Amino acid sequence: MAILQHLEELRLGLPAVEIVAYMDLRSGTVLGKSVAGDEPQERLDALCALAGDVLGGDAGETDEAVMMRSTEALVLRRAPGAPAEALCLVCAPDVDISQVMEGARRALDAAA
Amino acid sequence: MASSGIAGVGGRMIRAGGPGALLPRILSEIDETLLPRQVTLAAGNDRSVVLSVTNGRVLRVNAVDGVADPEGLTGETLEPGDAQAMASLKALFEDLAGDEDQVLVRQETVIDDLDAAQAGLSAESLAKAWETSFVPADLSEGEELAGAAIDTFLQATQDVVTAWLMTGPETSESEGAGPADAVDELTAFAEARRETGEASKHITDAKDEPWSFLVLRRGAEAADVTVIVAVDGILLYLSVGQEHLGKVADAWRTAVPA
Repeated sequence: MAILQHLEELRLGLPAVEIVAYMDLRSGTVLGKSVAGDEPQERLDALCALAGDVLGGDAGETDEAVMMRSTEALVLRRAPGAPAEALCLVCAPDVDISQVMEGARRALDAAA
Repeated sequence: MASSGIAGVGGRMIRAGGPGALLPRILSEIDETLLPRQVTLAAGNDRSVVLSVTNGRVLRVNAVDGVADPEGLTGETLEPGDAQAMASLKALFEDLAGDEDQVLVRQETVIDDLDAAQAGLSAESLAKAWETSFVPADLSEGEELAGAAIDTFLQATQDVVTAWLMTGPETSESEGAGPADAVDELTAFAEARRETGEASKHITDAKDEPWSFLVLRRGAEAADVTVIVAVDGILLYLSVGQEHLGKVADAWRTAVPA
């Protein structure tokens, strides 16, 4: 899980990103995180549950997802070679989605 | 369901809930056509019917191909209340639809003589004569706003969207545009999500779960991503090249402001 060493770097490199979390979808736990401010654990747990639901756990057919609403955007990406793990980035609603998706992909590929 | 009015490559596909259910969808299409249009309805095996439609009324059957041509129907201006013409038109549409549950609709703007507001056979009178019903185009204000947002979104993304499909979370009725195989794939995906109850899960504009834009990349090597957007109970599925996702997201944020 070399990616855990780079969560802070990933968040700071993408200004619109407020939370970067690395998750175990199977157990529903947050393995590591970088957060801009204070973030209650319940919020991170809820994000983990949502990521597992949308990506379909470690047996799902979805490898990447983007969710948007008026208040925020979410980028989820399954880790290559570790299908039960995923990266979750919580962003401002006006974020450049393509840039964040590319950033998540590069970070996971580099850590693989 | 609000009609988008957007014609993609080759026209829009309208689908019914099953064989034999196309007549109400065709009537809705006629009812929603207010400006003068030449409307081509095309089905499998090269069957097609070309109509002149305006003000929610069929003025004329211009041409038929691959279906039986009822005597005295093609080329004649249809008169209101003409029972024989209404029966012939029903037989024509049934012959066109056959056992299929979808037809391709193409609309072309007509600028000549289709200005007779009260001539022709209205969709309502046809529904009454055929003892069927359809959802009229008398949309509520909310539905009009939803339809306008979807129209704006589709217009802004028409150059980058491979195919789209519009449906609801609890209905198999849909319409879409794009290459047939891409529309079929979206249809199968939408139906699978509906059957598993996932169609309205997470992706809805309801207040408790207001995610209204969802992108799913299915398969690590997939060239296209599937985008699902929701507005007022309408679900819009799109197949989009991943390189165009930024443009699609921006179009959605513009079309549906917070």
